[in-house]
Amino acid sequence: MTNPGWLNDIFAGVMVAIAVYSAGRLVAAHRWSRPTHQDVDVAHILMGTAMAGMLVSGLNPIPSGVWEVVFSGLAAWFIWRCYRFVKDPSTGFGYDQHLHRLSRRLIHLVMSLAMLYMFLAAVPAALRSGGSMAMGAASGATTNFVLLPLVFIVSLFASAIWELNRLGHLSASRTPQSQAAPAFASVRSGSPTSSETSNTTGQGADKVRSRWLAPRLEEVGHIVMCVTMGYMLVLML
Amino acid sequence: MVLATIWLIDGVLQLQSLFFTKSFGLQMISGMSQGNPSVVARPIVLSGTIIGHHAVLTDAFFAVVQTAIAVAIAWGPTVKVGLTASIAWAVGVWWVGEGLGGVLNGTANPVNGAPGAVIVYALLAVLLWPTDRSRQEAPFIASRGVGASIAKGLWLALWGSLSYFAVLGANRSPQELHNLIATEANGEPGWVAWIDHHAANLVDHRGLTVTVVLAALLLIVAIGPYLPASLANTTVALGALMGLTFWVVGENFGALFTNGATDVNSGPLLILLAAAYWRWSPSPDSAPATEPTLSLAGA
Repeated sequence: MTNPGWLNDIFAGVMVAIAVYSAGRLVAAHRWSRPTHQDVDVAHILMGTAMAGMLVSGLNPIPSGVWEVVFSGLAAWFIWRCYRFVKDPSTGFGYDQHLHRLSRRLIHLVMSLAMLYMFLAAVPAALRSGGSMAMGAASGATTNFVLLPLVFIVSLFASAIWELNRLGHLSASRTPQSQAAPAFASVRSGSPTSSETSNTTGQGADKVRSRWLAPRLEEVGHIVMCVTMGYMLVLML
Repeated sequence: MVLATIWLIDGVLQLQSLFFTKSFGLQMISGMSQGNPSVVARPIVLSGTIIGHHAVLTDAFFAVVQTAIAVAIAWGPTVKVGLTASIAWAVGVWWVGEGLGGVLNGTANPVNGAPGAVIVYALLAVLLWPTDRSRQEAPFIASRGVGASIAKGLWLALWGSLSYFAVLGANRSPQELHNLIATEANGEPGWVAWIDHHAANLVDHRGLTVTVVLAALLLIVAIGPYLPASLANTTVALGALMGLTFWVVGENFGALFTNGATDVNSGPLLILLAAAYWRWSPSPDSAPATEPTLSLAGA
């Protein structure tokens, strides 16, 4: 049994849109000298493209073996980012910022590992069915690892809801800049910026936050990506 | 946020291929009418027929509604709308989708999720209603919405009914619990089936003894909130442990691995409910909590 084609098409279309938007963010941030999470944007481009290709096989630009290498590398990158942050969290931030900034890297590590799982679990099934990368339930040995995708699903949906909740508070407070400053103050070119180690409270934070490139849209993209990835993992349970 | 996350999981589960087929309405939904009084059964059969003949449209609608409930609960400004919708939808699904959890046809057993996971959604939505009660007025999070006495009464009613269902009718027979657990193994991954087979063997020919002990434990949990704080917390922890046990053994993780689950079943909901009844030490800072529902959910 397979899901309706139109449903996969919709999700694939959304993923392509997220990937294109994330690429646009990188270009805009470079041209306008605005800070953005570069590694997160790159991750969204790669994941959006790969998921679109898994949902609609015609959209897959590169072989799945290459994707496995790509997402292994991405997972390694986020492990490295987490390690660096745990090793040296003393950048003048309070607990909340610390938690958020670590969780942001952690959830992208989880997403990278989930992508890797999907490729590793889906490829044997695809080979059996003639090479198509269309999604389907995991089979054979992978059925014994169904607890792993369940953990991924819960983590992804919890992240999506958490970010949505934060967006709601930002919207309700009508003072998004001062409240959201620490949450979005993160990385530029893969390393802490001056804005990350200073100017994070009061006027300084407002200034940093106001320069940040469309943070709420970035969050929306992340939420949609989490839901889509969760949908694909549900199909593989 | 936990409740919203569970609604989101349910919404996405609804997008599994099985639910876009006629069998979802004509077999799964209509099958819930069996053994129920005609006044309960007729709307179920009617709904099942409509859903079966418009499978794609209705299933897509169900998925959208459940996802929208999740979004509304998580999105701060619409939390009350989301909780209201959660109650209304849960009651409807409890009737049509779960046949009132087998309460009226004598098949309810807490081990496999009776009286129905979805009714716990409604209960949680009532208990987590946002108010400005302070911590001193509300000894546990579930009491913030409706007050401590009503919250305790609802807990007593839920867990007391679980205790009653445990020893109801055929559930007392020596083999019923064994058969129930063993049957659940069908279609599950090997390691889940292994758990089921071993659990079934443990209770083989001991159905009456086990159900009586189970009913007694559930009754202790039911009266827990009326006990002093430390004992109350112990019984609440026991309730959470029982919820986890039901989820793993009797519910097989909500049958999520069979591609036929519409929700996570009652185990996680019972654990979440137990968390809402956990009493914390009085805080020196007795300032009113401004977002009780969200602060619980975020815990």
